[in-house]
Amino acid sequence: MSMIQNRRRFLATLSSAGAAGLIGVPQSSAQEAPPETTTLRLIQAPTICQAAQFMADEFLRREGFTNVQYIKKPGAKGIETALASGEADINMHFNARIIIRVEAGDPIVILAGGHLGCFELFSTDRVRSIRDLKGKTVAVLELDSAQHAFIAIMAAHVGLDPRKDINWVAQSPVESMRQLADGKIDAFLGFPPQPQQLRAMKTKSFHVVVNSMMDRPWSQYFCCMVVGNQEFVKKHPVATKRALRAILNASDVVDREPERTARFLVDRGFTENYDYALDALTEMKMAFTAWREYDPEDTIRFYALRLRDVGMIKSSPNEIIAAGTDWRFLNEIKRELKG
Amino acid sequence: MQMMSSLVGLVSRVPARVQVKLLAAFLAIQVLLIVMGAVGLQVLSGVNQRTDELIKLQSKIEAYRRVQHDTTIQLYSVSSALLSSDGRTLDSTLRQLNQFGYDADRLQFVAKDEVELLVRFRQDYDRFIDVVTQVVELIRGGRAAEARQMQLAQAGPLADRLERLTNQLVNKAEADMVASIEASKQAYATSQTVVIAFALASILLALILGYAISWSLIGPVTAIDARLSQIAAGDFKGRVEVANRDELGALAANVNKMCEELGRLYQQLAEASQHKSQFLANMSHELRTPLNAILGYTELIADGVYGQPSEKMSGVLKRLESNGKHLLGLINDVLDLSKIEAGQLVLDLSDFSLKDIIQTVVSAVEPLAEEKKIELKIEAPANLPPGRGDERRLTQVLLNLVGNAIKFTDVGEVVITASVADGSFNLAVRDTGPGISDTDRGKLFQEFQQADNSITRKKGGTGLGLAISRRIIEMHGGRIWVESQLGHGSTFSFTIPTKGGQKISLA
Repeated sequence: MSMIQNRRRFLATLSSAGAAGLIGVPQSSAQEAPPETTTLRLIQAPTICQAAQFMADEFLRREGFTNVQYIKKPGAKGIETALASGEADINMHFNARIIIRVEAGDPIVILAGGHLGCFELFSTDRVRSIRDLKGKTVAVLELDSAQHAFIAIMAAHVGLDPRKDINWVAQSPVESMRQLADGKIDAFLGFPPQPQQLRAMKTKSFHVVVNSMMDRPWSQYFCCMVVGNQEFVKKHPVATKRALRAILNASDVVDREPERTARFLVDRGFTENYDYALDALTEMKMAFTAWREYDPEDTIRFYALRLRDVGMIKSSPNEIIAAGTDWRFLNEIKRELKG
Repeated sequence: MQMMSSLVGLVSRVPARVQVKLLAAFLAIQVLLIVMGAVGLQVLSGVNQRTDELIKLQSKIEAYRRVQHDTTIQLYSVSSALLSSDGRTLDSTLRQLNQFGYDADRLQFVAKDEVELLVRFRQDYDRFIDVVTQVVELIRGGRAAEARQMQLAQAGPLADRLERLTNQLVNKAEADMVASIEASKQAYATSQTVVIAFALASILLALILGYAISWSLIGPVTAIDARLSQIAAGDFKGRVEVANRDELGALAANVNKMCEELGRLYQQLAEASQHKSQFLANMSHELRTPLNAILGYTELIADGVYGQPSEKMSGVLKRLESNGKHLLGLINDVLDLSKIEAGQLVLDLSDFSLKDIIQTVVSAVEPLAEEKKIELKIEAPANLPPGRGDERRLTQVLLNLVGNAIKFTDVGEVVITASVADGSFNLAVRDTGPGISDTDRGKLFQEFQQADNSITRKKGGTGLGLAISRRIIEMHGGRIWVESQLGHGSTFSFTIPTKGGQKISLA
């Protein structure tokens, strides 16, 4: 299942200047102790919004990781199980699912915000606002998926009871997009490149109800967080910090060079369609650099409150923050960058 | 159970009065109740405190939401004003922006625990006002392009940050509220557990103390009662042992002392009674010998052995013989009773025929019945089985009962009934005499007791016959009783086992 990527192949696709040269690795990293391990395991899932961690390969090398492994998983669900089991060391994942897993006791720890909103809620003409979802059919991948959590939170935010007021249908995104176009379902929440695929259909049978990159309050919070396996973080604090720095630096590259990033994602097989990837990354501009300004703890607090409103968790936001976050590495990196 | 017994023993051995023990127990329960009340008050105080905190948090959230709303309005208002470039609108926007400080001041009041955030908010807001003022000045100065550039580069990001900061304040306050609610729930659950625990402990303590104290009282009382029953039954040998060092302990000691004293007195009485009975038995025997001689010589004189007595002397001799026989009967009764009490009466057991006994009695009393014109009847089945017992003594009993019936009946009949059932003979003597009152019935079978002294004086008798009869029947393992009503005759009944024997010692 795991696939060890060839570093030479990565370097061949990276532009000649090299992202690290443009951003520069802070001098402090050179003064830091070397990572406790030179092996780092990340997950390769078919999603564009995790572009930063795919682009981090060169940064990781410069941070001292000589053996970067990408474990292939078919969907986002595999990320949380791999992180909890220790199969993966560090990766980005949707905040709602992470919070649920933290409460469930998974040995994971949230290290930083990844990027701001990326998902979009599409619906037919029968739904003009979130409140119109009452009594409608909404398709999700699974009932305990990130899609389900986000839609439930948005529905509860406007007073609906997602358990009673919405008819949920669990099916593949491909089938959901087809049924949305045919008007057989009322709404579907897509992650890149699904929104781009839907827009490419150029049909007027559906429209965007919520765009988490632009619509408040969702646009003001991280969508994905950088998460580490608790044991890995505990045993390898230097490696954790170096890996996190690499991912955050790569986020800046993604923000600054969407075309190169899109090409890289297609060439490396992370996604198939260059145009969709480019559109997604362009639409998400500024989302990847939010880690410098936005408070990730507030994202956890906000989403924990919303998940609690829905009844998906019982813990208080403070308990989730206490049990599942560690901002030391992020704060150090921020201080170094300021310095 | 072992533990409870130990506790009861412990309470018993406490050297304090029962009253003190009870008061101590009530005091202990009371103390627990007071503690429970105090805990309850503390819980209420905690609830009150948390309610205050929640109200403060609610106020804080409300204030933050207000600021959040106002901030959003302000930011849009600024954006719109900068687009219009109208002088009056710009003035109004700047004025509103400055007046917004009122809400920010209110934030300082409610957000003591979020000082850092608030400071950042104030700083960003001040910077925002500066930037917007500069943008407005640039617009007024006709430098729209520079104004536009400044707005995008500085005012925009500052506005975003202000919005995020207000969001952050709201989220933090909401999270604190949730935490506070959770803490309240937790505190409520803990308080509930504590109060229930105290309530249960109070109940348990009450039960344990109640059990221990009650049994430390009931145990000795039961033991003393049992001992008194034994004493009442004539057993003076045992002692009542109680561990109590209170009033009951003293009572038990007194009972033991009383028992010893009674035992000693009873022993003295028994010895005295035995001496009396022995004396009476001896005296009766000694009296009977000369009396028999007197009666014999009287009979000889009456029969003319010493010469034919005159008619006047014959009358005197007849009275002398009659009184002598009465005296002999009296002596015989006293002798029997004395033998019984002295434990010297032993039943002479042999096979007997109840029918023969009845016939013998009837033969003996028939002349008397005829003389009083009283009908004497027998109601007995022909096939009465043979029995085993002291035939002479049983005849004595039946003779006593039938003789009494005839003696006290002036008109009517005397009926002797006999039957056998469940291994026992049942005999009854029914008369149509005057009957016996309820009061008299109770003492009929006691020594020297008769129903009515006036009748006794008229009819004669020693008052020993029924007492002796009772003793004889009881020695056979039977029972004797009377049923009677004044004016409606009497029925004296007794029952004895067909194969009876000496069942009890009457010593």
